[in-house]
This record gives sequence, C-alpha cells and structure tokens, in this order.
Amino acid sequence: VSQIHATNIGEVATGFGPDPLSSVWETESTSLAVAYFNEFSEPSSRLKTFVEQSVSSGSGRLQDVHDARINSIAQAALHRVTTPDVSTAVIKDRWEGVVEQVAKDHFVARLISLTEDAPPIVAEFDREILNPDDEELVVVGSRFYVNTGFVPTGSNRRRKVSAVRFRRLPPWRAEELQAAMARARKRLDALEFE
Amino acid sequence: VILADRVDPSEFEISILGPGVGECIVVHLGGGDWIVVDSCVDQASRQNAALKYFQQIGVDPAESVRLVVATHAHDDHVSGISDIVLEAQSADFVCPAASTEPEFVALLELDAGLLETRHRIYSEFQRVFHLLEDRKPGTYYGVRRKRAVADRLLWSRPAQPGWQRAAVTALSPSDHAIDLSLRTLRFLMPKAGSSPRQFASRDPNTFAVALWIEVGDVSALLGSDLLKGPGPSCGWNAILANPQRPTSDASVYKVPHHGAPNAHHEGVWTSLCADDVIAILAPYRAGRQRRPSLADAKVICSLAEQAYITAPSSTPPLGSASRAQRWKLSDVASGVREREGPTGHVRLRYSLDRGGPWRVALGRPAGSLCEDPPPPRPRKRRRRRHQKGRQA
Repeated sequence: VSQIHATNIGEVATGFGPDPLSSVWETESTSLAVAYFNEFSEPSSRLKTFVEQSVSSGSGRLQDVHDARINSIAQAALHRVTTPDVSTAVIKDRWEGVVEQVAKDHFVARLISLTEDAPPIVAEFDREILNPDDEELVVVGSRFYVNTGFVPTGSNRRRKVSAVRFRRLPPWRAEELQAAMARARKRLDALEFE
Repeated sequence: VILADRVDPSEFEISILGPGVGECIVVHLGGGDWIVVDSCVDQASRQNAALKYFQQIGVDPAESVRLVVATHAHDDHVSGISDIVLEAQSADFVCPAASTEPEFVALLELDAGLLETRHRIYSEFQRVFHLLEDRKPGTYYGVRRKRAVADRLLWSRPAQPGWQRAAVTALSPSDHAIDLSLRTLRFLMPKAGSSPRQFASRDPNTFAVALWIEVGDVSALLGSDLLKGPGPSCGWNAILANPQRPTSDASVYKVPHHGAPNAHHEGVWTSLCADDVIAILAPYRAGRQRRPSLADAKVICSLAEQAYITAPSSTPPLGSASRAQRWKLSDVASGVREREGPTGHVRLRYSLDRGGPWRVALGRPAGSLCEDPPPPRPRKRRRRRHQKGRQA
C-alpha cells in the first residue's frame, strides 16, 4: 500500500497521473510520503525540490488547490527530508499503532506489523522519546508509525535505529463535515430504526 | 478452546467467549432460539468465536439466531460483529439508542473517509449498517432494527406446550444517559478547521446496553460495560432506582466492564441477583491495569457463589513472533505483550425440564476466578530417574 501511495506522490512530483492532487490528498499521511523519501533516493530529490518550491513560492500545482492541507503535508514531509539521519537509514520493520491509553509520562498503544504477518501487540511508549511536535498528537485514537532499522556507521558497521512518528492529518473542512452529516441522515432514513 | 458438545433444545445456555479482540455472549433460550450479544475474534485463528462455536455445535446462525445485540461501539465488544450480522440473516439487530443518532453515524462516515491501512474505530458499525440497508423490513430477508432503551422488550417468545416463555429486555441506557451520550457525541464531532484530524476520544460507556434475560422462571443479567453512573440517572444507579426494574433474581450475572470498580455497584448484587448467583466475565488486558485486578476479583468472589473467567487477566506468555517484535521495538517501547491470547469459553447450561443447578463447563484457559492458582508443577528430576532406570 505504501508503495502505491508513494507512487501517487511521485506522480505529483513529476506531473504525471490523472488527478495528482486528489492522489496526494487521498494518501492523507505524511508517513507514507516519508516512506517514499526513505526508499526511493533518486525520485526523492525531485520530490524534495518540488515540495520546497511549492512551499516557498506559494505557487505551483500543489498550492493551487487545498493549499492549507497540502502545505501541512508538504511541510511535514520537508521536515523529514531535511532530517539528516533518516536519509541513510535502512528501514527493516514497520508498525502502525493506535493510541489506546494516555498517561502523563507514557502512552499505551496497540501495534500491528506492516512488514510481517505477526499477531497484534500492545506496547508502552515513554512520551520523552517523541518529537516535541508530536506531543499534542498523543490522544486516544491517534495513529502513529514506528520504523526500526539500521544506519551504516562506516567500517562495515551499522547501528540499530528506531523512530516513532505520529500521523499528521490536515484540518477538517466545513463542507466535509456537512456532507458527512447529510449522508448520516440519509442512511438513518434508509435504515428505519424502530 | 471453544467447547463443542451440542445443546439440548430444553436447555437454557449462557456462554461467554473471550478474550480475543472483544468478548461475546451467546445465549440459547431453549427451543433452538439463540441470541448473540457483542462479538469476539480469536487473534490466533482470526476466527469469529461465536460463529466458530455455532459451527462446532451444529447450529445454523441464519436459521437460529433471533437477535444480535451490539451493546456499544468499542472494539473490545464489537470486533467481528458485522460477520455475525452477515451470517445471522434473519436476526433482528439491536444497538444503543444514541448510536442511531445522526452525530454517531456522521462519525462513522468521517471515520470511513480516513484512508487507513489497518485500524478503524467504527468500521464494524459501518459495515453492519451497510448490511442492514439490504435487509429492509418487508423484504425476503427483512429484519427489524431496534434502538435499545431502558425497559424496552427486545425479543420475546410466548409460552407454548413444551416451550417456556422467553424474553430479552434492555435495562439501559436511561433517557438521561441517552442525552448525555448525545452531548458527548456532539463534542466528539470535529469542528471545521480543527486538527488533528482524528477522533480525540471514543464514545462513552454511558451508551452501553445491559440486558435482562428470562426463560421460564430463570433469569440472567448481562452487564455489558455499563458503569455505576455518572450521577443518579445513569448506569446502574438509574436501573436500581427504576420502579419498573425486574423483580426476580438473576442466577447468572455477566459482570460489567471486566470487573472494574467504576462499574461495580453493590446494589446490583443485592437487589438484582440471587444469593447463589454465578458471576461470569472476560478479562481486559490492554491497559497497564488489567481487569479484573486481584482486588476486583476479591470483591466479585465475596459477592458471588461461584465466579468464572474466560482467561486470567494476567498477560499470556509471548509467542515466538511476538518475542521477535519485542526485541525489534526494545529501543522505543516497553511492556510489549499480546493483548488477547487464546480465547477461552465459560459455558453454563440449565435444564428447563428438570430444573437446576447450572452445569458449568470450561474451555481453556477459562477457569474459576475465586480459586487460588494451582501450585507450580514440581520440576522433573531427570537425572535421578535416569539413574533409577540404570539400576533397574
């Protein structure tokens, strides 16, 4: 799935694809964009340039539609691209997590492996390990991704690395909320609850 | 282990299955009439526990299930319930009144719009509603969809020769609980421009549907996750203050909210349960505080004649795949555990012809809540036995 989404983002970057903006929007996840950056080094430089231009110039295809949302994706993606360590990391395992309980110093989450057919697990995370930007995202129900892998450290050695990143989603739009409420009313009419 | 011996048509049965993702109660009301309350999916086999049980005992859910009840929209109660609705084609569907309000259904719509790889909070309810849209009353598979509110009779069977009267009644939510739930839903509904774009919290347990089941003179109380309150007009407080509440005593009580103190009300035990009540429950292992705790178990055992749990609330040992995950996550996470472990089965059967007592059968890892854990097995003394053999 991440490859398909990443390809959509790549299509936007290179200007291909039938409806590139909706493709970007449908990914709704900077983590997938980050996965793209991590895995495809050659296209990522093009995408990086594209995102940088879109953000800095305030124009371009990404800027034309849904600018606030795309900007939030682009800003987050850009932040990750410019983080030095990640560019050389080789990701071996990925999990998707959902926060189930939040305490002052830690949170409890349910994790599902995205790379193996392993049973779901529950794990506890200290909030200290999070990026300061992610702190406000730690609420029950929020999604995050855990990547583990290694970074080559020279002389044929490598270091185990891990990263926790919360999913960033753009703000809700009034039209979306109104449309959801209209669909809900229609559905309830059709269901005819006694 | 899910038990597999068939039920006699003259038997009243209450089975609780869990943990998996969820807990599930399957009830035989005699005469081949079944109801399913909530749902559970075994994490190892990924099978729906209730459907597996029906398959093992030769019951066709399409023909025999009269009612499917989703007591509230939490994962640990409704995981896999859409599969039960899919199979139980002639069963009426019951859900809490607040979950049939536009605010709740709009949350389903918004949740479905979030493209996810795996997780989704409300996907089970979303799928159930999709399935029900195709089963309109008056069509071949027409089924009724009912809102559960306090004192509502959800299903009944009149007494007939050879068949005793049976009835399933909702004891909650009260009117005030519905109002509170709606207020919470409106609060949960995101506002335009708000971020992050995810649901900050889940709907409350104030929603939950407690059920009173009667077959002949025998009654059972299924507590769902109903809390004590909040306040005098919600939860168990409201049920106990209701002059319309049942006057007979339940001989089986499904302890609410996995034995947590916020759902414990001593009045339930003294006013709604028989002195020799049998308590049944499933554990909750997701949080740091697993339920029932030792203190919770002590309280339940002091009030119930017998108490059975589908599995210990302690964490099951990690399998090899989970041990590997623990190692990989060791830099960032601690306390890695499998939440569900194998699904256990507590089954109670009561002969409506001959009368009591309830006969209890347990499928591993189910056990008695009140008995001390068995002492550790003595370590095998291999060398000595080996030497003995040599001497022989």
